[in-house]
Amino acid sequence: MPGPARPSLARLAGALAYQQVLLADARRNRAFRRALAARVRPGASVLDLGAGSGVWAVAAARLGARRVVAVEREAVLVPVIAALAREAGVLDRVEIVRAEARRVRLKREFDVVIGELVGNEAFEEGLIPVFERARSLFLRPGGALVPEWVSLVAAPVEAPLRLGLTPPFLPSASVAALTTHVPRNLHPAELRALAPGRELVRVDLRTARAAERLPLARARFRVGNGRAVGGIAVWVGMGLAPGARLATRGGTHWLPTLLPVEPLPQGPGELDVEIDWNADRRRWAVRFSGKRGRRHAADYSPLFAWGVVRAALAGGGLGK
Amino acid sequence: MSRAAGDRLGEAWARSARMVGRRIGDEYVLVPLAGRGADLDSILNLNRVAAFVWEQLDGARSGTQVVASVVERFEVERARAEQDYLELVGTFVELGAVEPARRRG
Repeated sequence: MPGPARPSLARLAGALAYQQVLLADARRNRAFRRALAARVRPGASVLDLGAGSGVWAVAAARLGARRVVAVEREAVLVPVIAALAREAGVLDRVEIVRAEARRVRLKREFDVVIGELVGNEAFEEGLIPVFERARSLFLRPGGALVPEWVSLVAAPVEAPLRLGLTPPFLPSASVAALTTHVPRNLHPAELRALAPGRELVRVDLRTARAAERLPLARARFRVGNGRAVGGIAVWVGMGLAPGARLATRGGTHWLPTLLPVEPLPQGPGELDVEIDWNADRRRWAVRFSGKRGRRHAADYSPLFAWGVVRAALAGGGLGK
Repeated sequence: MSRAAGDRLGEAWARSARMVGRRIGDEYVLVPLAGRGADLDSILNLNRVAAFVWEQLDGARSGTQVVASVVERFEVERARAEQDYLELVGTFVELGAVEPARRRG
């Protein structure tokens, strides 16, 4: 079982560079700061799981928290948190615990638990199990979680210019066919939505359980005249606190995810999308129904790519 | 041919909604949708004939009709096509990949 990472020059550089990216994200900073202001009452006890630079732990102390515990696995960030707390004049109220957020042992004494453990794909940083454990072990009855819910929002998009399938000087149909089944990050500048985003799934972190799988998500979109869908963009919505929401569609350090699809017939038409977002069964299906009987249906999943590669490894070769 | 085999040739089978298939290049891959996690061994690779049969299992065509299509398409002997069909459908049934077609009327 891996413990907290050992310090090294590379880890220090990587951790500081990442924290710089976070601290430069004005939209994220505004939203989390607003959420803390709504949730942290003078005299409160606050737990920050995955504290990073310690910005939210220190902010909570400055908002009047009596006691703040900042849990961070990266050893190289511990002195950073301490420095931030010292310079803010709250070091006496900020305790730093070097530990994994999902394994740390603490008392049930917290009025607010913060965990900025939201990844580009929402749940890949362990948000649900960490919050479930925090609820059952650390949060006082009636306490608040930040965020309190996380959602997945989707919209059909045009095919990005840089689909990144194969180098243009070395086209490969077999490699392109494989990579169509793999989600990838979508730069917001590439995100040309063909319909308004729709919320697919909302996970209430006050009740969510890690043992429960995400439900199969379905949505219908109307695609305009002459527009051709080349993928489904999925981004994350967060309810941090009453009056403090954040979406990762653009303008934040988070990146939306592109679920590629082979180009669909041009609209107008209706597009039905079905997405299984569970990481071990990630799959998306599109059913397009357009005018003059233009129809197209296809399923995509990294599991299809797995089947192809497995056969190739067994001796068939890829693109034989 | 046993009576059971004959019965099965007379039946129509439908692809289960719990399986999805994709042709990628020369490979035809079947992925089960049921189950809690990814059991990578439950992903099936079908050869050309098996993929053709899979696509014919629409709940309307009987085994006899599917076998006739295989004989015509792949120019194989009928007895061999029947044997392969029955083995393949048996595997699909075991995996829950096909379901008996609902009887009409």
